[in-house]
Amino acid sequence: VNDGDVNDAYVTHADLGGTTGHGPIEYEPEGVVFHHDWEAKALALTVAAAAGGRWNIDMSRRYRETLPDYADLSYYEIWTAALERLLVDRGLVTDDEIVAGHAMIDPVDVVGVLVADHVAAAMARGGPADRAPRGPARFEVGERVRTRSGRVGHHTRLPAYAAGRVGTIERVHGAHVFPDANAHDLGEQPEWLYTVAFDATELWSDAMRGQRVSIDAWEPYLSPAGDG
Amino acid sequence: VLGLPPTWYKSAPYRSRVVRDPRRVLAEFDVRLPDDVDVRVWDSTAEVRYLVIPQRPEGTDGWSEEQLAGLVTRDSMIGVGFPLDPSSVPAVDQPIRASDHGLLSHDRSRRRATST
Repeated sequence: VNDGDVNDAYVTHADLGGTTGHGPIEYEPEGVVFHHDWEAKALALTVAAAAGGRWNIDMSRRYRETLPDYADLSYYEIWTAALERLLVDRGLVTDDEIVAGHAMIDPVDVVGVLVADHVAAAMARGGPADRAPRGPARFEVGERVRTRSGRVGHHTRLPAYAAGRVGTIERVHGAHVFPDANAHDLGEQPEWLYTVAFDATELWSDAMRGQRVSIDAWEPYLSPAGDG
Repeated sequence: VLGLPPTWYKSAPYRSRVVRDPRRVLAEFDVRLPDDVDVRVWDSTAEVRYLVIPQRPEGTDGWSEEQLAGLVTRDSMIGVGFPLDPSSVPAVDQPIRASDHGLLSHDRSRRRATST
């Protein structure tokens, strides 16, 4: 996948909401976070590599959700596989180096390096996605909206189960980085973000009455529902 | 906000089911809700994060903020568990093990889910 590549072949394997056949939930007591030492390293490597500024969180999600063997990989296996591809595609590491397990080219300049002393502060700071709006909000609380329907050939955060459905604007969050653009290296293109609430029966015909599901949806996902 | 999430929270079985069949998923966490309790799912599809404020258990009149905080579990803030039973914890200022997965008879808290 090339940067900015937006096409019909884009397939996400991470849009699981409402799908079936994934087996039982395997509960674990609180405090269990890692199951192998390498998982902690995978997390640390991913966070540290991201500090280089060669990609953003939406790009990371794009790389993870499009891994062909996504369904067969554990959570941190997904992270590691996506990180390898990002490192190569963004010019930090070569395929030969990954095979060899050591550096073979000169280091590449990066915008940031995460050193151990700064990890706690960096994690506490997080990665705020709110931005200055580029224009006025199109919708207000209480308005009925219909979500975008149909497939899109790029990364998106609108779950398939909520596509083409009518819901109500419940909250206006301000403008946020637009993942559909940011994931493809097209810039942040901030858009208004809303919480949209649906009756579960609008999403699934067999849902229990009175149950509600909300998502956070960017303005381009939404159009006025009209009187219907 | 709640630290690194547990594996089950990030795995396909939970992510696929909790938005569609939350009552049955909650029952598997030993959280059984009467029909007149509404269930709401917040699917966090953006960088906005949600957490549940667990309902204050009965029998905690006069408890300090610190004591009350000792009843709060990670699961109760995800929305798949109740706070600890006040009668199950030491009466005074002793540290509470967050791994004690206790249950209460109270049942009005909000649910959320994620599809990250």
